Amino acid sequence: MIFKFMWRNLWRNRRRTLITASSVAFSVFFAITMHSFKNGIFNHLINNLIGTYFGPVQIHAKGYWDEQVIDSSFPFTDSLRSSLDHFSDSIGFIPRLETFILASAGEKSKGAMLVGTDLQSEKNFLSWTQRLIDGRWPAPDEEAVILGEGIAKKLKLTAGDTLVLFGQGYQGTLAAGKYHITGLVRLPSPQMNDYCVFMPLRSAAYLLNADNRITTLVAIPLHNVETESLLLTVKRMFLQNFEIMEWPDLLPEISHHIEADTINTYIFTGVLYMIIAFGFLGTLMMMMAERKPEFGMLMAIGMKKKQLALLLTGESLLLSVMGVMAGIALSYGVVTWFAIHPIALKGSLGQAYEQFGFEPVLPTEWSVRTVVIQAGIVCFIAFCSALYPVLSIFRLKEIEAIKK
Amino acid sequence: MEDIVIDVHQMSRTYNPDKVPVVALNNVHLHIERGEFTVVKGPSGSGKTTLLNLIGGLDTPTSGEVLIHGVNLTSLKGNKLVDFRLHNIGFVFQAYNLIPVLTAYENIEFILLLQGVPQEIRRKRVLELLEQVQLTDKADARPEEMSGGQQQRVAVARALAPKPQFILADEPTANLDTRSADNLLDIMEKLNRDEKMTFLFSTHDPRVMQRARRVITLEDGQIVSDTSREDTTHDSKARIT
Repeated sequence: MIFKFMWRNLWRNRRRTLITASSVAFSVFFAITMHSFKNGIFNHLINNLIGTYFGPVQIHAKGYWDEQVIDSSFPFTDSLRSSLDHFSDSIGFIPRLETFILASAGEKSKGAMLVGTDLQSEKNFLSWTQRLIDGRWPAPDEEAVILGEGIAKKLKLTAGDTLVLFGQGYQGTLAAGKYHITGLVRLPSPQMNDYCVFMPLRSAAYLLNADNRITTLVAIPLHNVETESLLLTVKRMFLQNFEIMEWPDLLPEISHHIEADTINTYIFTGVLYMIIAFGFLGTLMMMMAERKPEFGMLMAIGMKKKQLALLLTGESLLLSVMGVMAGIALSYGVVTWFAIHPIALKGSLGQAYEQFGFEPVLPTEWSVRTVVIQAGIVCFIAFCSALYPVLSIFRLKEIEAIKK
Repeated sequence: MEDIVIDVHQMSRTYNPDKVPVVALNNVHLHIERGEFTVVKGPSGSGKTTLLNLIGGLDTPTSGEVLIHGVNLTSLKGNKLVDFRLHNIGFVFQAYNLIPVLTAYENIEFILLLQGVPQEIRRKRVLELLEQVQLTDKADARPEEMSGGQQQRVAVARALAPKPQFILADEPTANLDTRSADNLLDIMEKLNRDEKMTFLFSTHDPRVMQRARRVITLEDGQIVSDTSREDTTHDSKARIT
């Protein structure tokens, strides 16, 4: 009966209740949708970069990340290989030899990142290898390269052409070579597309005079192994002289961008919720003023102030829950739609996204955590707003209330 | 032996004692026995409503005390006072004061719910009360769907629901037409006669005064007369003491 009482009380002023519930629904919808776009865009970006190329954890020789030169490489010995093999059921390892180099073709030259890698491991564990758009993969011992689509376009090259690489090898040696381009790959990050050149690990080691040396070991969790567990294992394996980095350290610009954007989103939703809080409070104040004589009567006939306060808090929460449910339902539809049909950015906006290294699409991602947090915030606001009538009730004197 | 339900001792109530003092009641002393049908009359501002509010525990006297069946009301505070009112005092207000979103049945049931009465007993009691106030057919009607007289009868049923010691009715007929007022008073009289329910009215409605067996007149916060119908020739100053 108490629930019935609360429910009917809400509909005393139908229009006001609808307006208040709608404002709550709108704010929940807006907050969830905004967070879902943020989560979708960034998770898409992170998955693109981590799942397709960077991996969640990388191991380097200590100091390599601050000064990315080939002299900071470390030996990829047989004993290291065999110890890595012990974890082959749970962790996939990809050895890479990476350095900056000058790539030339004809009259054109461009700075590039040479990635010497075990292409079979890349194919086994990362998905960028599925993005070959032209040609074929080189054999493990072949002196050939695969180019990112962007750099190929800039150097006006295609599969079958020849590329000249020139740079510094291990311990100051000269590294220079002419390589057959076996294929082109479209990488997930437009930035990577513009400067990555891939080569079989052995060929790269030969070019750079760095036999059995690598700069990077990418660690990939296999068979649902958690990243935290992977990290613990890797930390136990590589105790000294190594730096173990997670993706936010590897991609600090993106990590900072996500942090800044997350703060912006929180500020925006905070302002939104503040407006809602005042609207909610206004509704409760009006309701309180209108029903004061009734509250006086209820207290006179034997309703305790505590019971009345609970009733009003319940009404306030019920109103917010109505709005929250409507907001969740609405946002679920919109978020699901854009998850299936992400917005593709075109024109200058799309180009701007690409310049920042982002794929120019805006997908959404439905997250139960986001929904629970946003719903929780609104219910908390409703609860806090209900403090006004609750405090008013505890200050109310029956006789004065009835007289009003 | 007399069964005193309400015992008021030298009770005074002064509003704004620190600023411009307004004496609403001045040294009032009276007692009401079980089964009385008493009216407090007097001009506006004479202190009728103040007296009822103090007896109902809705207000606190500046001095003196109110005893309900021997319990000193002025010594009860907070939830104890609310609980005492819930179980011992029934209120009928001038403006009916029903809960607008609840039906007649639910309005009466609500007070039993506050008392923690089990559902089956609540149902039985509410139906019995609706029958007593002749509103069985209006059980599912909301206040807005009932006339003023019907609403006031629901208010009486609600006041009776917890089986109180007495009912305080502040100007219960003020908003009613003659027929509704008569109907309401018939019911109240019947309850008084059959169930020995004690009624204390504040009113200046002659229709109520005609029915009262005892009329207390207040003027300027003091009882100036206290007359019983059985004893109309006797100016019962003795009861005022």
